Parts: sequence; C-alpha cells; structure tokens
Amino acid sequence: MAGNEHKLIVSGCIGAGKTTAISQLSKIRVVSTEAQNNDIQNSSKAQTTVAMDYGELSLDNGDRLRLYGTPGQKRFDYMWKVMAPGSLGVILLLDNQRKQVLEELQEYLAVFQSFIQEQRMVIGVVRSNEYHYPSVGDYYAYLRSVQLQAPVFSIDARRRSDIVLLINALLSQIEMKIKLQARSVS
Amino acid sequence: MNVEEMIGKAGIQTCQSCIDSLYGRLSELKFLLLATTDGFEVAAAGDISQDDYSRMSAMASSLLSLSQAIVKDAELPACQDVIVDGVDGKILVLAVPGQQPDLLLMGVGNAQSALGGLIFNLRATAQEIRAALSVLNTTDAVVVNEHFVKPSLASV
Repeated sequence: MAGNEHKLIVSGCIGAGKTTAISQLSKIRVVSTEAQNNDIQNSSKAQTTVAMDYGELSLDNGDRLRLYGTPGQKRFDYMWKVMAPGSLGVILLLDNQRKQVLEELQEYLAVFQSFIQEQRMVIGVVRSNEYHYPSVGDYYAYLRSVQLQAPVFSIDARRRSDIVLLINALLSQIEMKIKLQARSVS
Repeated sequence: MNVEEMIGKAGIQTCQSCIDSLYGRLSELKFLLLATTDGFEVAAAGDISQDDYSRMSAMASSLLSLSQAIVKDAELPACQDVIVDGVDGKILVLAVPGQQPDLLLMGVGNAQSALGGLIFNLRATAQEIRAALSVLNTTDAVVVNEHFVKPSLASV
C-alpha cells in the first residue's frame, strides 16, 4: 500500500551543493534545469540551476519524499516562494568559502522564516574543512542572536551519508514536534 | 563577468537594434526582451520597467529551462518555443541558437496578437541576432554611426 508523500525543499547559495545533494539521494533520474553560468564573479561553476531540481526518495515506512532544489541566486528568489508552500521542511546548504555567508544565512532565514520558527529547518555547511570561519559554533551563536534555533552540521554534499544525516535530523525534529503537540493536546 | 564583457558594447547595441526593429514593426507587442539563459538582461523594448525587465529575464530563463527539461523527459527531440496562452495576451520564449553566451528571446503580445505572427517574427529576429553577433565575433562587421551594417559577403 502506498505511503504518504512529503515535499522537502533543498535551498541555499550558489555552489553549495543542492543539485549534488539531490542527485546523491534520488531514486529516480533527477530533473535538473541548468544553464550556462555567466555570473562568474559569484561562482566559478560552469552551469547553474535556473528553475529547480527534482528528485524522489523512499523512506523505510513506505512514505515518499519529493525533493525540490531551488536556484541559488537571488534573482531567482521568486522560485523559493513558489516552491515553499506545502513543504514539510527546508534543508539549507551554505558554503563556508563564501565571504558573506552569514549575511546570506540572514536572507534565507527571512525567506523561510516560518519553517525555522516551526523547527522545520536544518542547516548544512559545506567546505568548512577548508574554510574554518564561521565555525559551527559561530553559526549557532548567530542563530541565538536572532532568537532562532536549527541544527547545524558540517557536511560534504557529495557524500550521501551526510545528506541522509540532514534529512534524518529534519524528520526527527518534525516528528518530535508532532509528538510534543499531541502530548500537550491529550 | 557582466553581460557587456560577454557580448561587448557593439554586441549589445546590435541586439538592441534588432529588438527595437521588431518592436517597431509589430504593433501587437507589449514588450520584448533578450536575456542570457541564466537570467541576465541584455536588451529590451516596449512597456517594461527596469525592475520588471530584470525579473522577467530571470523568469524567462526558468521557463525555458523547465520546458527543455520536460521536452527531454517526454523524449521529444528539442524544445523550439515556450508558449503561454494568457487571457488577454500571449507570451513566447525561445532560445537564440548558436551563441555564446546562450541567449533567449521573450515576446509578450497583447490581446490582438496572433500566435503565428509572434512565432514567425520572434524566430526571424532570433536568427537575425545570431547572424549579427556571429559577424561581430569574426570582426568582419563595420559599425557606422552606431547602426550595424552587414558586410556584403554575409548571408542575409
């Protein structure tokens, strides 16, 4: 019998590994919408996502996760708002190589405010082994300063187990919240 | 790298001339824009503000790319045009073939616009832009008084 279907957004800055992360997990051929990247100042990547990535993953209980990757550049921010409604949660990928990464985090927190306020967001930081600032502690300190909470993990988006960790962390958060709410009702 | 670095000032002027020429010829057009396939504006004509121009360039790139993805999944050879049939107008987006950087052309027609006319004219303009930029790239063109002059040996 088919399980439930859930939608997850994978968002974050250009070059953080969103497309790679979805490709690591998807059981179907990933739909990707890439175009030649002319924004070389922002990223040296040859290609960049201009609409969305789409992949699917089955969970142990028979549920299906639909993974939607957003474009990273701000000029495509309308896609973030188009894709967010109906999502179970957001996986936010940040690139420690980028000089303004905390400012970028601030922008994403504003866009996905309701998700983080409802504990439906996890943050994965890539390239923190090469670029040590900000540290995971710095990210937590920043989140505390704006009175928000989300798990932060140092990851490699090319490593499947790291992306699985992010998804499991997100699903555990959501499940815990549901249980707490159920307990408070009863 | 910005658009001017990619295409050159002469290239942008050429593109603008082609766009202006089509906009002047086709009264049913609300606006036209030329953009890179990753959403940077190159040239535009018509009733469109700078903010709308930037946003529409990005949206046109998303639309074209998503359409190319669905065409590929449907195992069709290629995506020629993307047509949005609105209530009081039509939108056409198509790729400008064979250019570096990759470009797209978007036209928005008003309620009186005929789809066939839009397709024919935008495709012709895309070919014109392609030919003009190719000639500029080979440095065979002469730009006189900011109007592009086709060299005599170029194909029409």
